[in-house]
Amino acid sequence: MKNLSPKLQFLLAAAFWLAVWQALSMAVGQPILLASPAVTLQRLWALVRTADFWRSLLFTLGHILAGFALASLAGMALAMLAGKVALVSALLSPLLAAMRSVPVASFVIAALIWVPSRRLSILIAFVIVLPVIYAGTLDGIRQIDPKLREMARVFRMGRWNRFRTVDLPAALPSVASALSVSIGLAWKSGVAAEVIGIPGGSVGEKLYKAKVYLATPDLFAWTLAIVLISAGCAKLLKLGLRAIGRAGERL
Amino acid sequence: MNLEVKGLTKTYGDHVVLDGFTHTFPEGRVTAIEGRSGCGKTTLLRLIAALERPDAGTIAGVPEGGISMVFQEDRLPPQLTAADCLRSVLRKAPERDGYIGEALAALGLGGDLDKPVREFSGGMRRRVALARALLFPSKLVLLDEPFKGLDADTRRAAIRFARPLLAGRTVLLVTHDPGDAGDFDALPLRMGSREK
Repeated sequence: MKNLSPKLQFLLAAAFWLAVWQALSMAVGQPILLASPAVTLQRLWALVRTADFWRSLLFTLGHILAGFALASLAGMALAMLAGKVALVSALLSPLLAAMRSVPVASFVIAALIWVPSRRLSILIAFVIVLPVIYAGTLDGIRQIDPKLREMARVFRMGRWNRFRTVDLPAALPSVASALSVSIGLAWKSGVAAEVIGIPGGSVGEKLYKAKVYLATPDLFAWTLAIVLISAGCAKLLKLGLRAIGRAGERL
Repeated sequence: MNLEVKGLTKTYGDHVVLDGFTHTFPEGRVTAIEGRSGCGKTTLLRLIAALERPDAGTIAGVPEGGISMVFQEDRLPPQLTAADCLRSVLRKAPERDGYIGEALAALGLGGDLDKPVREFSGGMRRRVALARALLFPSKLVLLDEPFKGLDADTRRAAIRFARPLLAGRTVLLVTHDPGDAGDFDALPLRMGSREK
């Protein structure tokens, strides 16, 4: 294993677990209890050829990304404010700690009273992502070298110049790590919210129906679709963050 | 205009670093400031650069348009190349790109223009910090042990490079090397210290 590249190691490990899954499903022998990888792929292939699949996926994708983007902006803005004003930091600290520990289901049920179920996944992705981004950004701000800030002040570096050369390179690793964790959380919590709120035409609704009709291959196929699209989002985010990081390396 | 410092006092807790320090630094001249460690040389530069506020006293004659400074530490963004460290503080592009390469070459860094400074040795970083301060277009230059960590040859090259660029500017040169005052035809200033 030592001589294999990490990517190949990952692929081999994934193949091993796929084989385990296949063997288990063959041992159980009932797709309603455990759909095999082959059945799952077959079902997914059937689903992707329907317009309804893409409509649902786009609906959920749009809502979850909206919640993620809003939370990212709000979390960063609040952290920047908290980095400057100690009172804001002190005020937000218990609120965000509570937001981190409240179960998603509690948020969903409370939110359903206030928000139409169609908007639910935006709100839930927002409340789950916000504290993570806030903490990551605040940590990033604390990594900024105050001595480099002084240097920037003495040499009258403009705000944008200072941000690119001093602030961004120091803060980016923490912020990027928070964003990477959050995108996965947004998907998990957003879809969970849809399963509870059952907005029509969402992925959550499809999962709910799969549960009601005991359509295990559907459940697995939709789950695989969610995993793939969530991984795709994470990859795109990683590429974007890498590009931003490179922008800070050169003037 | 001369730089006039009057009755400057700065304490950190119980430690009095500057106690009513008064001095006039003549415009366009280099003043070489000597004194034992902890006597307030660096604090004086920090107060003049407005990085700290004095407990008492006044500073007059700091020119508009920024100050050049070599800090005690190099203070270079580690991810930037030597050339970008200079570009980041030199705002006007036509002014800067021509002579950044020449300046770094004169300091023996011509072959390392595109390396990030985090890969540099201490002496190399010191020279980049010096070049940044010297090329920054300011009338007041604050140099806190700018040749620290340089070997004899690079020190000579750095002094040769610095001399024409400091001509006509008001320079406060903090140094522990008595030779520096002679190299820059500087006015000597010896600072003392007192503690409560």
